[in-house]
Amino acid sequence: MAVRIEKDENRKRFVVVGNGIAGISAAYTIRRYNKEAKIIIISEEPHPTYSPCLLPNYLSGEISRERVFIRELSDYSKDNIQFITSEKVMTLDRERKSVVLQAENIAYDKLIIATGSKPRIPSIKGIHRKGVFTFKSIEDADIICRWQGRTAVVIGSGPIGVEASLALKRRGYQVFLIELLDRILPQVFDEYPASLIQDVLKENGIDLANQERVIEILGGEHVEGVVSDRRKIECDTVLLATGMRPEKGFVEGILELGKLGGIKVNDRMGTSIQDVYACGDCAEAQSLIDGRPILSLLWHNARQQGEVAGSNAAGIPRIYTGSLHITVVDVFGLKAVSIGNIGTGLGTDLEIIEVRRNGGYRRLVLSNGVLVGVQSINWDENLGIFLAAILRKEKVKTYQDLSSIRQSRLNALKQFPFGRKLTLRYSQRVK
Amino acid sequence: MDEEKVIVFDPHDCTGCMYCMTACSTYNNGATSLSKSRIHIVRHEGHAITKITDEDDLIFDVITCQQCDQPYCLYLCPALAVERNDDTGALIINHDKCVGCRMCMVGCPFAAILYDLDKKQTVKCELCGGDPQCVRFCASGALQFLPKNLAHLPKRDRLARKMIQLRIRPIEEKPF
Amino acid sequence: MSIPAGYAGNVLIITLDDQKIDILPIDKFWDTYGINPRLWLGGDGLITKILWEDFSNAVEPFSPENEIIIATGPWTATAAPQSGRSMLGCIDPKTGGFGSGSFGWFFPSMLKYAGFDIVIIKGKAKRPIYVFIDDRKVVFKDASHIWGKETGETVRMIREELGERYEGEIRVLSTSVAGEHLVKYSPPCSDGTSCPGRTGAGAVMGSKNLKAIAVRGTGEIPLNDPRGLLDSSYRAVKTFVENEPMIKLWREHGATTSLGTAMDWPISGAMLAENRKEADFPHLKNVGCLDCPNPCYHWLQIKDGKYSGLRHLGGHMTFLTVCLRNLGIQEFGEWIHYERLLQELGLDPASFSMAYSWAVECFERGILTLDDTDGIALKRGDSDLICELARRIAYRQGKLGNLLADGVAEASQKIGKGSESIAPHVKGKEYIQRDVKVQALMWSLGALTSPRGGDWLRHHNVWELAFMPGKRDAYPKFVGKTCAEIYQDSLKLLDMPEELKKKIFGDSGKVDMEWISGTKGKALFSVWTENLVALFNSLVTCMFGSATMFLMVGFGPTTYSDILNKITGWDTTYDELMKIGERVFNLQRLFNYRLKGWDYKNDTFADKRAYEPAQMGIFKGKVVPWNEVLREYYSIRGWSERGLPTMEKLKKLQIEDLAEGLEEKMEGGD
Repeated sequence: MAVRIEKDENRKRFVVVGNGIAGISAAYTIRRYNKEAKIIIISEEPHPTYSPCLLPNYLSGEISRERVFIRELSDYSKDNIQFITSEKVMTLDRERKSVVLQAENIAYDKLIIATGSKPRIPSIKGIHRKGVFTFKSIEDADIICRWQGRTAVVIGSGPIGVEASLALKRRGYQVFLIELLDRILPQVFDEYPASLIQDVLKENGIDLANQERVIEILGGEHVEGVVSDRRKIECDTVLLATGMRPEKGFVEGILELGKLGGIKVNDRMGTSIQDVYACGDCAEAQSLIDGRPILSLLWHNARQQGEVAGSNAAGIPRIYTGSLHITVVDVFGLKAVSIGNIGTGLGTDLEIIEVRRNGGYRRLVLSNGVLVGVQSINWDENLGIFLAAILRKEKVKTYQDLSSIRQSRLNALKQFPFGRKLTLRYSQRVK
Repeated sequence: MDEEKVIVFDPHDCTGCMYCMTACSTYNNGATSLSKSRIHIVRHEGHAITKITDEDDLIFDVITCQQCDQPYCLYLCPALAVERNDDTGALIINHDKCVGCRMCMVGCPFAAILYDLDKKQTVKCELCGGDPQCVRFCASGALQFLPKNLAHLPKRDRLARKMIQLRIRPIEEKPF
Repeated sequence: MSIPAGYAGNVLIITLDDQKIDILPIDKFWDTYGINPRLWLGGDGLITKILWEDFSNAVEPFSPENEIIIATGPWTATAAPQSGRSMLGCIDPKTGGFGSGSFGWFFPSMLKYAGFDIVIIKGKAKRPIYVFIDDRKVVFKDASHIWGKETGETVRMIREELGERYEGEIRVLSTSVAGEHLVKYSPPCSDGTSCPGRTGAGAVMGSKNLKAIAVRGTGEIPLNDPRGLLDSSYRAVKTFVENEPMIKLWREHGATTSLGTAMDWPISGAMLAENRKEADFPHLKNVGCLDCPNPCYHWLQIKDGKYSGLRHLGGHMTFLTVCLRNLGIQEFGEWIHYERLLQELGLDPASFSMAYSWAVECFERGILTLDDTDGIALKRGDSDLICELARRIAYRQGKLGNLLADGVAEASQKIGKGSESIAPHVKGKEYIQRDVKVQALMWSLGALTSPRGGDWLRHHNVWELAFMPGKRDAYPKFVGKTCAEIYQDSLKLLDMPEELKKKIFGDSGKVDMEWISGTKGKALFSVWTENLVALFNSLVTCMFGSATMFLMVGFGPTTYSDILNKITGWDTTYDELMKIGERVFNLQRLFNYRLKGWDYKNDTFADKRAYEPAQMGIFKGKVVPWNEVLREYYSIRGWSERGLPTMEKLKKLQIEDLAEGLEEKMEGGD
């Protein structure tokens, strides 16, 4: 669409800190609305943007390292975006409206912070032994790829823990997956659907345990084993998958933070300081479902937040409709999908509808009659309908209300009044 | 960019011949099928399934990529493989980048994205590079290819004629 | 031999007795039957060859020895226009000779997508069953709870039972109660709406305890030149739609309306066309088979009268014709109800209506008494009576029901008393016209020469009819041109070599009353159209492609050849394809001779009044020169005076080896 830009906006300076999907979404959105502006992306890392979602595929050997990258160094200049690598931002000078690097200051008219997230390191004795890894960055993945272990203990069964377990199994490791809570993928699946996934993992040789806490990592310089509150496991590799935390970095003490620890943003991705925006894993935005603050550190949320931040920064007002959990895990051919909120912990006025068909299972979570979440095991046909229903906050009484896109289209067509009110005279006899 | 055209469908005119589907599969896959077409006609043929009742009706609808302006398939793709073709405005899948994770299928509210077992990637309508074959072969004119801001015209024209017929009879039948 | 593109690649042979399934790659099948696909294509070509190989002696059509052959062709289910058709063949229960019929809707396409070009069904099942072809998996299902159900209910039950994932995924070809009761003219029905009407194969299915065949297909058809096929098809359709004079009427109003309009029939035609303008979707909508640009099915609802509220998919020509001509039914609602009823019961409208019409005449003449008719006073025009009799026939109830269920030929033989010489059939099969002398010459000539017996669908035969005064004057109002102008344009567009056109239409090449009123060129035109029909029944594509019934300026052999070449990669030509049609037609003739001994003596009307002077039409006051024209016809075809293909002709058609052992019989006397 054609956008009117005032004259003095033409040479505005936009600085983006962070080179993940949120950061580049913001940068490219700005460029789309403003052809002349100066756009600078500053990254701590030495390489162009990559997709952390694809790291398990790289680790397992399914795709090559090159495929993990979604930008090449030369791409930035094609859109006239200056890309500064391997530079850490020390602090923010709000009076002079500039970010302070080690050797220089970079002034901005609008600043977008997209510093992402970092793995939470649990306080376990022995955590610093060689052979203990996190699995967030491409460097992490490179190191694990070079590591020649045989037995791995993965601590934490969120999506990252599960995907890492699958990737390591593929590499030939014997894998132990240990989860603190009472079920696998506890943030995205309720107990019954989680149990279906657990069964498949176990059938395929992954040693899985719930409600177990790791107390110590044993060994000398190298990892030799792990002690939990239940047993001792001999291993040479430990992978920490105990959650991600927003990387606030240089804005700590400068920008207001949310209760959950992320940078507090309004629905335009604006922070507590004017002309400064935040987006992606570092930001604490609102949930699409109930409007409350949420940390939903997922690719599509980051991307959308980046676009919203960039849009607003460029002078085009846009509202962020909210973050939504969408998780897809492919476990030895069993496809498990979770969209929205799960049932556990949601409180009262909660209704669950379960449907089974042809070996597939679906669970609809309703809150006050409105669809807020769906979990699906081995049945991913037409799930987009449920996503759309959640976005529209659709009231649902039975499963049939949403059963298939074909049915819903036909129902709509059938209700359309095709002029039945016209009366016709058909019977006419021959003279 | 201004002239971005999209596929427009009117169920009143569809005869259910499904030439759109055979043309699509033939053009995109090199072989004719209905199951691998990127456009799908939803059929309701009450007459053959039940004894005819008042509710039965012969209705056809279409499911195809709507080339959304805010597309969930693009947002959800972790490999950035869903791209916008600048010439046609269509959303296309870059087959050098797609890893076959099928997140785009999870997000699409129209179930318009298919999974290709041979490619092991997803495939979708890409408007045949600007000359959509489904529109080309639609003999009844139910499928048309129009700029977005003119997409309402065929239906409006048809309804207008009908309304005039109700008021003034007889009427010279003009070809549309 | 490798399998050319366009073929799905497999033949399914089912033996019902022990529920045996054989799946053969089609090239192996061709080898077994000595078939070169370029000589026979598919459809009727294959049915004829298979029947030739499998039936050298006559069989009882209701014995387990009879076969049901469903044969698609390389055209079916591709992106060619009108690619939704298939042929279905068997030994005809009434004639005992060659039987085949065309059907469409979506069963044929699904069969090919399942991977099968041909299905052959042999033997007899011990209990009622139906067959489910689920892509390459073929299973037998118990049908005892469906036996006895009518068409619509059958289709619904089978689809529900098999669990369609979406509506229209599973297609069903079923027989109904008339077939179960072995009514000899009961056709099977595809999805409750499209029947190979004149085969009696529904009864053959009934005799085999085969209630239905269901199919689901998700595969694809390989093509030699996919983009080329799209371009050729597009060009063909565009040319057709732009040039065919009747096409505007047809596409606007559908088949029956357009034809009824042109024919100026009372309960369709002008009235339907006017009403359609007022009618609102869905109450008069045209729908059709796969890839069809000029669909012919009407979706109708009756708005008032006795049958108000009745909805129906169909409104086909045959039903309308027989209602008006043979049954005296003239009311719209009654016509639709009649059609619906016959589809539900599984009865061929032509044979039924002729049987009824004959029975009425017999009753009026006292040949049939009230005792014979179970107390019913037979008359035309009473739709309730007619429908009641249809039900009785379907269930073989009562004396009359049981009598007429065997068809006019057998019924007249049983009754005797002179009823044979007013029985409207040829070789045991009824045609459609009440008075063949009126529709002479070409329409009625087809009844004599068709390989199926009495018939009108094996050649295009209506050029003469359109010039009848009532119709001639109706045209301009709806088509914008006079009759003569339309036919003149058609002659230009007709896909026929110029020399042939001159031979048929004379040097001045005018299609006018002069040509209509004469006999010159008629036999030659008949031969040409018969070959054309045999050709498109072997491709398999729809007869409405080469004509919207009247004009034959749609797809001709040149178009067929262009598109077929893109599908298969062959380099066929006009001549090659017409020769295929000729070959198929000739083998059908030879087959009937070998099996039943049919020759020129059988090319006769059982109804002797055909040989009396005509009261109307172009031969008014004169006797129609049937035998004279037939002799001309045989000669044009290169047949002997006995009306049989000569060895020379068979050599030209490359099938002389098939006549081995028959030459003497053929050339000899009786």
